[in-house]
Amino acid sequence: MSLAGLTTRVLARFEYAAPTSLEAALDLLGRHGEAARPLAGGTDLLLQMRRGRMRPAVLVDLKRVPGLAGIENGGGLRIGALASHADLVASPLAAAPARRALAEAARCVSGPQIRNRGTVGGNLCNASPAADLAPPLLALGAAVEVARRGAPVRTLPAERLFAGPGRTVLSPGDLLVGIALPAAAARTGSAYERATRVAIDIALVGVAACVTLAADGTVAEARVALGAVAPTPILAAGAAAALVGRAPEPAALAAAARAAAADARPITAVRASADYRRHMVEVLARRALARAVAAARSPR
Amino acid sequence: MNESGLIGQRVLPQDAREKAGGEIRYLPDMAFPGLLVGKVLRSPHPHALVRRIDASKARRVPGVRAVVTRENTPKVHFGIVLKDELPLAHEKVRYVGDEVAAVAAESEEAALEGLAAIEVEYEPLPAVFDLEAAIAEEAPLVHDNAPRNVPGGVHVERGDVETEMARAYRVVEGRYETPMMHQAALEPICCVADWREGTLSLWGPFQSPFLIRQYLLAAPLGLSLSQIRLYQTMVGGAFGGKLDQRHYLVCALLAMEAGRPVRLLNTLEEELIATRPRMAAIIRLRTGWSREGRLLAKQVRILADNGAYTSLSLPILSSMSMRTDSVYRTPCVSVNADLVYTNTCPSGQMRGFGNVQATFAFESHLDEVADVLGIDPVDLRLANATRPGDVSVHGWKMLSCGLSEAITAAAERIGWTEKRGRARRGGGEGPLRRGVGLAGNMHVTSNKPFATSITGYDFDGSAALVRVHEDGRVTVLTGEVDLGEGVTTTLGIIAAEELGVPLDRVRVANVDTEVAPYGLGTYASRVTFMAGNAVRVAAADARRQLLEVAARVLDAPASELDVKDGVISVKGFPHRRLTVAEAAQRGFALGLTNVVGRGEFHSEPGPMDVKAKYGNQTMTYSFACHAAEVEVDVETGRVRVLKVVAAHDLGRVINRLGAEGQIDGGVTQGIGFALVEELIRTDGVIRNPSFLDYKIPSSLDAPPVVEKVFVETIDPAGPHGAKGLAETAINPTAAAVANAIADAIGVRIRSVPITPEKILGALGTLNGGRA
Amino acid sequence: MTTIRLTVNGEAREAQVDPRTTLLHFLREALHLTGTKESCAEGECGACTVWLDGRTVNACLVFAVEADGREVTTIEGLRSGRARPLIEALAALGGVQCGFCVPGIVMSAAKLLETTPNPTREDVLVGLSGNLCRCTGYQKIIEAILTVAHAPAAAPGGDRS
Repeated sequence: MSLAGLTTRVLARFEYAAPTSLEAALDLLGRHGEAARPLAGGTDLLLQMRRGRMRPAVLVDLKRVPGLAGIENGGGLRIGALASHADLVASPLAAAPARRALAEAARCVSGPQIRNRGTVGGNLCNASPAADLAPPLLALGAAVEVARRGAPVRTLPAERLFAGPGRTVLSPGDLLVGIALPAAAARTGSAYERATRVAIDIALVGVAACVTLAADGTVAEARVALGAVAPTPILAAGAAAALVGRAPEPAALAAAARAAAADARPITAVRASADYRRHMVEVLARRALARAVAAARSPR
Repeated sequence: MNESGLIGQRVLPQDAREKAGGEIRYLPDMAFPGLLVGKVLRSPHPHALVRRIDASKARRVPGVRAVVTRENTPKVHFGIVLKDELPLAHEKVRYVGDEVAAVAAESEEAALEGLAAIEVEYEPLPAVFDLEAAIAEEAPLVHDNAPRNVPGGVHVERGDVETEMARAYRVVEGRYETPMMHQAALEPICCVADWREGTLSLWGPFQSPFLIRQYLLAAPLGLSLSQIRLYQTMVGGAFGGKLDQRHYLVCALLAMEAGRPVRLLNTLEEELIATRPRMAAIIRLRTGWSREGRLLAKQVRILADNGAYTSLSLPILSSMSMRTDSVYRTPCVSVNADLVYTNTCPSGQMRGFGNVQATFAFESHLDEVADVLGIDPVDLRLANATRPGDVSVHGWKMLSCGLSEAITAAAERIGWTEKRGRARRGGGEGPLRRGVGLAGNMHVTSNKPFATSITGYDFDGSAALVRVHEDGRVTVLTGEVDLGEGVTTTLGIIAAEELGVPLDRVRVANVDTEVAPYGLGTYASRVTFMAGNAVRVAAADARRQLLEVAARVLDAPASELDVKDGVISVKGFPHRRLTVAEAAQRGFALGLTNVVGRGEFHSEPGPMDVKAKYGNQTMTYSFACHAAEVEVDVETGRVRVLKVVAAHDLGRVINRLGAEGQIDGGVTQGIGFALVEELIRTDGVIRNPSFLDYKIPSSLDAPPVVEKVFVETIDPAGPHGAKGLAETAINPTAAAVANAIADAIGVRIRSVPITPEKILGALGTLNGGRA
Repeated sequence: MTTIRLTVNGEAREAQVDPRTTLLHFLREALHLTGTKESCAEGECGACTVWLDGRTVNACLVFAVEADGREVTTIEGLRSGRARPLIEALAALGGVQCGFCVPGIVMSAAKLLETTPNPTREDVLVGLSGNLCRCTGYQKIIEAILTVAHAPAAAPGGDRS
């Protein structure tokens, strides 16, 4: 029965568990399977539960599990799943030109209260097509680390995490524990651009670009990733292909941006139309690429 | 006028510290012994017959103490303007969110279980959503007694419009559209009701306790007025939204059924789907102009979205139809405006009361006219601006009018001469284009025809009591409400000034209908003017009583006495003195008086021909001009408002801090209306019932600069010369922004919100260049 | 029901809570700390801003059980002490109209001034961006926070109070 207007503060009953080790958390998730749901920042999960869209029987709070929240440099960059958006904003590691898209995206996530609470892992696992952190992580070549009871940690490329709006490829019992970014090549820069209705908003379109320049100044490698223009965050392969080997001049960036727009598969919804989203992919891809190139050229 | 210097200063509102520190209690913070939680069952259908309601299972849910449906509530049609509502749905539901039943229970959880256990069988009916489709002959009827779904309208002919159009140098036409905008006060609509010993008590942030008591409670419940007592709690924002709601009645029905106090508190989702937002409208304008830029004739055609019930929409439509005709000299006008029922959320009043929509349309139109005529928009406005002493085409008399001064000041402070037309002259860097625009506006300072249409009395006024306590403190009682804007501070200043006591000894009480004098409440920018005048009279009466006592005690004629800083003394003999506290005590010790000053103010704007809608609405009018500078990114369509200059003829500033704050808030709400706010509806379903998708401006969206200019015309009828400000603060902002955008990008957008998508569409950027 | 032990405004508290209870409802209904307001209940408006282990959060999006063993600070814990200058400035400079959003704003602003003692206007805008206000248009709130930040010793005041 549909009860109009009944977003409620009364949630379906659930059991709350706050394990203090990863083993215990994985054990709980493994034992309860589909009935369980990991609880990280909860900023999205609580809303979903309040709207009746999610009714987990067991919430496994991860915040007492040690070692899940750090941001560390070791060759590449490793971000614990429970690192908050605020942690990312504050981290000098995410501010480096090669990673800047990530810090820029984290800064875009809502207001300070949500950034303090919301986590990187949660942002990915909600699998919102509009998740701000997804495009930069895809563009930066991130891999996600997935643990489960009695199995070695496995990794998969971030772009393969998503199965559709609100759905990941993770199975019940799986837990995303961290994100690994490869070491950034020299002369790499990145940037994130987004379109919104007001400053604090869900992305109508998000575009991250990461560009590595060769010694001769041409584009050695490029990755462009798009948010909110397909059922999942996607890599715009056409945009990357249009750039590699070229000098990153305005015409080349514009061509790559057009290719990015062609890669987008937006739909018309309450927040924006498909036409607008596709147009914005082109504009924002061009801007993100230009800033990524500038960052790549900037001295370390 | 001999003033102490308090008028026009920056005075912080009473309770401001306590509010900021979280010490003040709003209704949701208050405890009531035995309080039950109420919840409302709402229609999931936009239009349906209610075949069956069975609440028997709900009554057996543990913890449920009362269930109300059509079966145990009165079938009495009621409404402030048109009696087209029932307490709960009987034969039909008319919008998604319509109240069908309600439950009161020991906990919210039990209440929700109770709601889920109510069985309702609906038979969906064809519904109407689109205004133009709704007035077609064959359209389904929302209410059977309103043919073509039109329950009323505004039809006014003044002069021979067609003849004037025929002789006009140019005739300009335009169609403008405005959306449903929500008041979005941070405190939700809420109340607590309790029924005991034959008295119904309600606590809540009521915008007009006396109107709610009479028309929304006593009438449908069949109770006499004195059986109902409303206690007004601190209001956490209203903007029009806390007056006409069925919420209070449903809560009362639950309390009467349960025999226990019941609290009803809307969720944000309920607020956004079912609480009477600003009325959406399609406004068509056709104006005729002389070569020199004189307005010769005006034709107005409006279709306005009433939603499923009328609420205050008829008077709102009057305001929307006619108010701009008195901002500029309008020799003749033809108005045809229809209110249209649709199967959507009933619309209602929001700050501006139809004038926000009308001003967006007409002030946008004026800039288009200026383009056609090749006249600067400032010059065009100045050439036609209403002036003091004018009697407008509808018989409105301009007692004081600083419109021209406001336009001139706004233009000057925004840098009009240097900035206007920059983008068209090739200015702009990369994709960024800047533009400036402005818009004028006027508003009433009370609305007598509105008051008369509700009460049936030839009355619009306010009353006040000023009680001087034995310790010299002063309590001011009125029937009007502070919605958070600080009007009680304004009234306190007026009382303190008149009495000669320090402001910190004066307190303006919240309304208790048992104690406070009758008042119509806070709407129509009326309280400073109406209650301000009443308080002034009441305070003067209290002062007279104090002086009478002091005259006896000090053995001096009252005319030789003066009151200053709470001390009464004989002029020229400062040692012959008596404090106000002593005078209050001696008043009854001497058997002279218990000092309670009484004051009334009656608005007497002159005769009104109700049928012809001709006659002065209020004793005086406020005027304003807002100018905006914007920056538009022509690749993304994103607009940033860089600066707003708000020049206001508010008569006289009473509290500078409050006046500036009203303007800051109005401007930002106006920017919300201009750029982003809209309840998006598909087939009657509101698609964005959450702050995730109904966006209001945050700190990052507010303009960096809001410059305030006060044009003090010192109105002859206003208290210390003051007029209203609440609504002129929002009315012109959207049009100023729209005009600035048009200046920046060279293309006119005739509907708000002006989204990036609309801008790109107008620029022909979307779809590979197709417009 | 679950037992939680936490520190609220410096005071140790122990309580039995239903795991479904949000921190906001726990504070308001169990501890009667009603200075923290509930408005949107979806983490957008910031009226329920409190500090959890020294960071601002929306109490409507935190379960009370998550605060077990943590330190919670509400407006009641700050209003007589650290936040007093902010409260005075917000009142005196016109930052308070209906006031419903203001305790949450005080919590955000107090944290901002603690972490960014010399904020720019932009810092203040960002620091406030999780707190909606419908009355003031933010102008006087921003002014009040900047005033406190840049003249911590001087008590701001209007002409009259």
